[in-house]
Amino acid sequence: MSALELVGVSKSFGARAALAEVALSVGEREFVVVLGPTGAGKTTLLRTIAGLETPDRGEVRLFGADCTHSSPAARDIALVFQNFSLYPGKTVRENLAFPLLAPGRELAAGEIGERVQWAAKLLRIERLLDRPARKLSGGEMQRVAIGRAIVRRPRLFLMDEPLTNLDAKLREELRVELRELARRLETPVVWVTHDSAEALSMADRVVALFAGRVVQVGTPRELYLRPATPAVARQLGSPPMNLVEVLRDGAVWRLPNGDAFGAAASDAPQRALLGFRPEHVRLEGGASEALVEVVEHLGPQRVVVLRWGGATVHAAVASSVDVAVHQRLRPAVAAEHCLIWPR
Amino acid sequence: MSFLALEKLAKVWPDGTAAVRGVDLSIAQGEFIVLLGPSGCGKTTTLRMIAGLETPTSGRITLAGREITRLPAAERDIGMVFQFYALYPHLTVAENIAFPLECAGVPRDERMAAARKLAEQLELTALLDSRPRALSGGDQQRVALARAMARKPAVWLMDEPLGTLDASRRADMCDFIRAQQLEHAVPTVYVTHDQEEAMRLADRVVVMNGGEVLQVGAPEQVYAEPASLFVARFVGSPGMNLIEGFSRASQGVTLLESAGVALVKCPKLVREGPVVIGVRPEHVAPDPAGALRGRVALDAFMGSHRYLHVDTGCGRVVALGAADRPSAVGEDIGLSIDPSGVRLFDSDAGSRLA
Repeated sequence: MSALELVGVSKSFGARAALAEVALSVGEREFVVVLGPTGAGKTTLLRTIAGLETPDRGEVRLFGADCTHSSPAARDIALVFQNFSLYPGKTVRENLAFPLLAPGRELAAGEIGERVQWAAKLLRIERLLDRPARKLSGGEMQRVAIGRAIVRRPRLFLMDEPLTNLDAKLREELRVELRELARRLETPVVWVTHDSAEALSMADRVVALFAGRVVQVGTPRELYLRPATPAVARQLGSPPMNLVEVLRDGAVWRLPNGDAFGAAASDAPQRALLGFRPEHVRLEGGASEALVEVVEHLGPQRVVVLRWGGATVHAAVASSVDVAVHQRLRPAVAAEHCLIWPR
Repeated sequence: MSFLALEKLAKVWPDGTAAVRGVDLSIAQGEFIVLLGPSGCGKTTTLRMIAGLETPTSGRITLAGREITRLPAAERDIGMVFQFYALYPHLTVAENIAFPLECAGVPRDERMAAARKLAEQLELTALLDSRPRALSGGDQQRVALARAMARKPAVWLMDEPLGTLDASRRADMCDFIRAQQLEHAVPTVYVTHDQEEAMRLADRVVVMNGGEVLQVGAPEQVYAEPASLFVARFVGSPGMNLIEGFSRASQGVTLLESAGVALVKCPKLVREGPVVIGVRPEHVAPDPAGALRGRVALDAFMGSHRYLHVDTGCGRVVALGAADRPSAVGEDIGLSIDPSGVRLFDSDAGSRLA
């Protein structure tokens, strides 16, 4: 059984369609990342699942039951936002206990205390329990906000860019911690983000959402290697996939200024957008010359920004490769690493 | 020769908190400097003192040979680029970008040509005649960046200008900023918490924590030769693996052990005793014959490679793996450490030993 199933969900705000015919299914222990740029409809999607928006058309099913018109409380879902919503004057302990004190939840005091301890331990915030929320750092606040979601032991977590407002280092640490936590809790997660690293490293499956439509669903590796559209290609990978306009001249692709890029199949389109990953650009053996504009040292690898045939191309090479700014070289990309979108 | 110099610069807030504790820094003409550190490390306060938006408690700032420590902000010839933009709603995108040039008395044709050129580089050409309210947040931020970089002052100061942009846009903006800076050779001080941005942009990275400068160096140097545990952990994503262990002299080499496992032989000689063994994920490889055994806690696919987070007897260790070689969570695997990647630190002081 699916934990969550969306069937043909559409939602408009006035004339603007926020979601168009969205279909989505999430398995009982699955971690699904919805990836898309700002304005793609990601937050509307989560709010629709949570019951904070009602779809104009379509169905929201939770564990087999139609919940399209159920109240948010009846859905037993937890939603974590980008902005950590805590009670600033209350302690961490009080903040964690609060969701368990809601009317209708008749938990014994002992049970509440146990759950608070359990959540604090999982999120490594035990030492903060008696501190007021306003005295916490951003990373600590987001841990508490997530703690407030898990104490209820909901049957589904919805996470709306929960790491966006944190420092890069904390983001990196929490990516790892929260992915492991989700596995331990054995609870499905729908995680919304525009961040490529989160989608690639956390997801069992990625749902690419652009302009309110699902354009691709697959494992991170499938989307990384075979993005369905140039937009998906650009949203994944750091640096993202190179996209270069080319014209076919017999058996050769030509770059914008006419320089040769490499071999083209005889049945290839006349005009195309070629997509290729930076790690698949070799720095020698190519058919024409490129100029090194910038060399960036990104730890284990070096990113080389090339001006090649009137286009800007990023290459990622091992940090042991010697390359300098203003150097001229002849880059090459093997045909099997090129995706072709006819224009 | 130093173009912008900070000498023993310090800032203590009225409540007695020391935000910046005696920062010395010398910036050459045309140099790109990135102040890197976590929230509250003093990087933004340092930047604001250079800008003249905060008055130092003590110390000196000199710019092009002139002391400016207490000079009003407006007299410093400094261009400031913030994360939070405010565009003039009644002006078009082109007029917004050209506005600083208009204030500087640049003739209309010239400043409009400059605005068009900047817009082209940022792929904003189609929006030149639009008003800001018709733009998406990301587009507004790019217009703000173009406007902030339209004028070429003595120094550019940038405070996390890419903070709220989508990740996919951020890489392009990094390239734009770096290209502008290289073309015009305006010395730049850039503040960020994002080590990747720092690595991409900087001629030299200044790593800060607790109001102090911990290390200054080229990105590849700070990455490969961290001077302290803090820098080892903070720089790199993920940071350096840091394993509590012991060093023992053995037949002219140093044998490094942890939790009873002989991890690696290291040609560097250090005193015997407790050490922290630092090694970056790319120097730890999955290896069935590896001495270090552990269980895979997480296999994080990154596109061109993957990071295996492995729980071993010596704690969590992250290894670099091939993109096409996934591991199952819970799988027992061996790891081997490349001795050339080993860095040793004092376990008490956190300073570098070898």
